[in-house]
Amino acid sequence: MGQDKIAVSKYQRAGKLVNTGAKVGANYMKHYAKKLTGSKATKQDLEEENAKDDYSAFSELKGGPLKVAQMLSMGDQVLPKAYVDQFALAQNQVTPLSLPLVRKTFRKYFEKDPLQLFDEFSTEAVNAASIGQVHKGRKGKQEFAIKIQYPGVADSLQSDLRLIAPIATRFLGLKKKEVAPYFEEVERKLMEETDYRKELQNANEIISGCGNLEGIHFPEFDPQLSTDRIITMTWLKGLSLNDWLATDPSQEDRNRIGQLLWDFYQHQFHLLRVIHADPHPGNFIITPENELGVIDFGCIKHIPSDFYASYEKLMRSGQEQDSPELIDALFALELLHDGDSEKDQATIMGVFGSMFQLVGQPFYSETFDFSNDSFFEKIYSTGMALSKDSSYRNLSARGSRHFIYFNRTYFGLYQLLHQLKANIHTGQWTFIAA
Amino acid sequence: MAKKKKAFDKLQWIAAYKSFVLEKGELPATVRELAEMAGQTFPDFKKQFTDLRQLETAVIALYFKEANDLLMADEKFEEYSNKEKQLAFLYVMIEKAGADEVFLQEFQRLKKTDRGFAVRLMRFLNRQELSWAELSWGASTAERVGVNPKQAALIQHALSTLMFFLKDYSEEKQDTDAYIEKTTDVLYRLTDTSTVRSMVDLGKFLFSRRKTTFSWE
Ligand SMILES: Nc1ncnc2c1ncn2[C@@H]1O[C@H](COP(=O)(O)OP(=O)(O)O)[C@@H](O)[C@H]1O
Ligand SMILES: [Mg+2]
Repeated sequence: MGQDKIAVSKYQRAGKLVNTGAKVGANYMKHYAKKLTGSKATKQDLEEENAKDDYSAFSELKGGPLKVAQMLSMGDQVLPKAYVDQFALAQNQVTPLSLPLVRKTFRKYFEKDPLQLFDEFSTEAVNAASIGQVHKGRKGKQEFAIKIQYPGVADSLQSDLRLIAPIATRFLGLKKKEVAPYFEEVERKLMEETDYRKELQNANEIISGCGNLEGIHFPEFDPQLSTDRIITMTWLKGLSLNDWLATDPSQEDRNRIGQLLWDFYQHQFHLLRVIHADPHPGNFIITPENELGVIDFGCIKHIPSDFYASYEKLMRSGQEQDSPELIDALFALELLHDGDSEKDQATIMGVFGSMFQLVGQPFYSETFDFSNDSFFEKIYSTGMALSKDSSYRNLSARGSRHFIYFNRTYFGLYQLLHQLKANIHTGQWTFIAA
Repeated sequence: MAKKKKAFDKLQWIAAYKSFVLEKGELPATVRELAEMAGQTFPDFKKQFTDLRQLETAVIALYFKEANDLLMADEKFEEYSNKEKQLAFLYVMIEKAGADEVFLQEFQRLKKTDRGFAVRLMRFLNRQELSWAELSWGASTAERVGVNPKQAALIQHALSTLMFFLKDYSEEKQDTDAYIEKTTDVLYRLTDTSTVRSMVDLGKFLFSRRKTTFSWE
């Protein structure tokens, strides 16, 4: 079973985009890809075996690995496919919180039973969350979503991560010192996600900066009924993005939602300098009026001003190969290192040039049609070719750690827009801050 | 002239036992030793308990009884499934016992080697409470010592939870909650009769073939 077999389904290909794109910015994934190209059948078998072993260890752990799995499931080039499959399995294995525990947790934090606080409260979870579950409540006419975290998640996550990092490092043959900053970034973000109070703060930060954007809706949070393990917010009526797409909405409506998404993200990045970093179809709800509801502020990413400034520079000069401004930006973003040989530098410049031309397309045209399959196929095949290029593969891990969540966000967004087959205005944001 | 205190009831003896253990860091060796500290007499003790063993069983049984009483007073309890009843019981029992954690730490340390304790507790609680218990496994032990296997199973589960709780150093003892959720889930899955029936079926089958199938001769 060869690794280079081209995936057949479009969505599978779209999935690959996530990490292919990530290569443009942060080559930290290069090493994973390196392992992928030695496509001997025995190797795949070995990976499957390893993943199974690891899975049985992981499955005994609590919610932690779920989040890690989500993070790593960004694509099967990040971790070999077998590995990711096993992580995905782990996701379905957690037992839901029982009603007695939900009631106990309420009594503990609020000294009241859910039914003393709500007129109605669903006895079972209506939605699974990655490290908890969501119940539906009603007070008078207002409906609420109540997200409750599994017990012991925060405590065990750290030790789970400590377990995963060395396995991943060894299994994938990474250099521990080179990849440490990236693991740290992921670890810090994941730990943040276990603190629901932080999520409330995050939500406030984004919502207060986006509250007056037209066509975008957020839940209202109830701090009185929220703790580090419970979040109470108003229920957003509508369908999740995937369910909405299944109703076969018109091109006009899909464009509208796509435009709202695009503008929402550009507004956050350029004006707020903090972004909702989990653009996943489950985190958007399309309201009955065909407007965009945004939920789940567990993961947001602050864009440091020096990163922003360098990125800005990159966008301005990226199309002029070898311009001093571009070189500057590449150094600042740690894509070029002082110790790089001339050959390494040439490799980076080459890779950067071709990927930038490609992935940056939406930014350099007035409108962009994300239904364009050939655009996504091109990115995918360029990424595949790159992962086989030996001079590229031999580079050390690189790229600012901020690229991890930045790329995850952008490529999540691209993927959503591709799913929407949206044709939208993209160009006007590019140089907003210039 | 020391005026003699009124004779203790059961609850007062239980409280006296706990103070003794907390204060001395050891179990009372004789009834007289305990009675003396409590300002009571040997005959006072005998009016309530036959011996120290019975008292110490009652100390732990009280957590079970209190939890049970609370659940019986909760109008939601009847609506619960059997599994939810079991979960609710464990949560309330741990809440009750948790208030006495320091005592229980000492008690567990001193009582570790007493193998008969669980059986005495089962006998003590038998017929009194927990009549709603539904889950059962390993009926043979329970039957041998003459207790209802369903209640015995619940008591064993609750004792294991208590042990876990006493060694749980996680934040806010969240791991104990996870322990309760996960073990209850597993126990209910394991005792799903269809699973058990197929396991027994397989077991019998393999046993009948043990000579021919698993032998190299
Ligand atoms: N305010 C809300 N209104 C409607 N549905 C919600 C709301 N909050 C959560 N949900 C549902 O619950 C699911 C999980 O919630 P989410 O906050 O995304 O959890 P997680 O952080 O684990 O991804 C969502 O995908 C959505 O279906
Ligand atoms: Mg979500």
